[in-house]
Amino acid sequence: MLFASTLAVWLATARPAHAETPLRERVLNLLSGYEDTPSADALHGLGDGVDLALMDIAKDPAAGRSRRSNAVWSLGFFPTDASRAFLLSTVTDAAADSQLRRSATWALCNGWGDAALADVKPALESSDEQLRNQAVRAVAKVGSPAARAILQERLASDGSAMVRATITTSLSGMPEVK
Amino acid sequence: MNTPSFNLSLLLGSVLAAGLAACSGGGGTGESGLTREDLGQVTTDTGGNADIQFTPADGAVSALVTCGPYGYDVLATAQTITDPNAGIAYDYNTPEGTPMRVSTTDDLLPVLIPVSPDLDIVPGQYDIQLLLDAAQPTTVTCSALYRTEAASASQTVDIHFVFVGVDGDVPDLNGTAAVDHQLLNDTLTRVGELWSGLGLSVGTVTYEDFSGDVSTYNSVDGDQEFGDLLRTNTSTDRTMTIFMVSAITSSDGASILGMAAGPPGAPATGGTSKSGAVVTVSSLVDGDTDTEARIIAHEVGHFMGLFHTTEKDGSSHDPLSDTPECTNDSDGNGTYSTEECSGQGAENLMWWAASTNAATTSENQAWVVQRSALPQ
Repeated sequence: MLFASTLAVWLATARPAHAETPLRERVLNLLSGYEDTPSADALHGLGDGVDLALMDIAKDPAAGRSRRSNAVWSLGFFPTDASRAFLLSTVTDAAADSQLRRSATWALCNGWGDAALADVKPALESSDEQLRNQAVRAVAKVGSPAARAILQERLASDGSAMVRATITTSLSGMPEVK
Repeated sequence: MNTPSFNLSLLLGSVLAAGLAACSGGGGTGESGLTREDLGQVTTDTGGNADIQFTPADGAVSALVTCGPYGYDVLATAQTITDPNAGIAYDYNTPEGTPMRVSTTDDLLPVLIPVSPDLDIVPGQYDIQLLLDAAQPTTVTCSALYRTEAASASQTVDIHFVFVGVDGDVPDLNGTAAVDHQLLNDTLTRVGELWSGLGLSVGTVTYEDFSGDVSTYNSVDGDQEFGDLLRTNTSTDRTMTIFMVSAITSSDGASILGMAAGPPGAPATGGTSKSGAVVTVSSLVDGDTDTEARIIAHEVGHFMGLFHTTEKDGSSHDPLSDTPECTNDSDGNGTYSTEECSGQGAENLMWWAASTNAATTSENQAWVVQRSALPQ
């Protein structure tokens, strides 16, 4: 009996302090850097259920715009069907915060690459100039011939000088299609 | 970065030094207590090195040397800093062994001495060996800014806010209405509380709307836009210019809360890519004035020469002996998290994350900022 209770006390005190911290809070802490952004390794290193915690945070207005935005963006590190469906619904939700839609566009391109180019078309065609601008940057990051073709098409049709400038700059940094 | 091959030492007339633009009295220019020195131009050798010498003005409590511009595609730092007693005050290869830190940064390199009470400024000639990772020899212009006003445990920081189209995010947060903006005023009150341990308070606050390309800079995307936005601040006053924007995004689209030039930034130096800080209003959107205040207080802390107590990846720590260093990455994920570093620096204002209790400051941090050219 004495051994058992001693062992219990030892086990309790031997556990790392952070093990007592709920997963959601640990994820929130990683999303809170002033200048630092969460890494895939850091998030995956927290164990199972991080993608669900990210979606939970992304939907929670009390988490704050910045953390929600980075939660959405971080789903690009978890390329599951559930994550993709969540991101796609965010991109296409015209009532959603523009920052969240921008982050969802980035997450799709970062996480799925070419396969996400059709998903982000609504962002490229949105009336939200800042969303279109981020969508251009995200598509450019994919860097493929298909991404280049999409940007060339947008260059001819986008009504914003800022977006066109971003497209031009992006195209100049992408490999030519042979 | 390259390692140095040989030095191109340019002996810059220290005579030229002695205060080409030494000022006193101010007359509204904000120059009181500062002495400026043109250190001339240096050209790096094929290894990316060049030497720059400076001799702090009499009575100086700090020296800020800046060299640039060298563009956004080039990074620079100091390879070594040698003090007047021929001691190595800083070595790029072993920074943790010295009470000195120098950032590796694009376009314009600021080097501040001191950034720790363990390396106070002393009379005599210093030598900084610059290191640029440029492929070609590069010519940069260097200057020094000496704070000749004595350090004081009770100073104010004047702030100038430049609003970059953020009243679409936070109603009435613009140059006209900001003076009566409750959220901003609550934020500034909290900034004063956070800085109280540093011996600083918020001084005169002024406001203006950004007169440039609001669409482009409303969301600051990447280092070049950050630097270009700061360049639009041409004031040489001892005022902290803070650009308030809707968003800051990294090159892969992640959201960043704030960015200050440096550390340190270039106080009282207008028109450079290190002439201020950029802060998002994302917390004010949520009415969270406490977090907004911590972002501002933290970024201005960087601007005045404070480093993170421990970097997120644990690779470096500030040079201060009274701020805890976190050494605990117990889950092995490569990030020294807030919960892992509880009691090891995560409570400090200069912790890398804006956790809710990151609000303490140390005596040594106060010592550093009280010598910056910004507060007065």
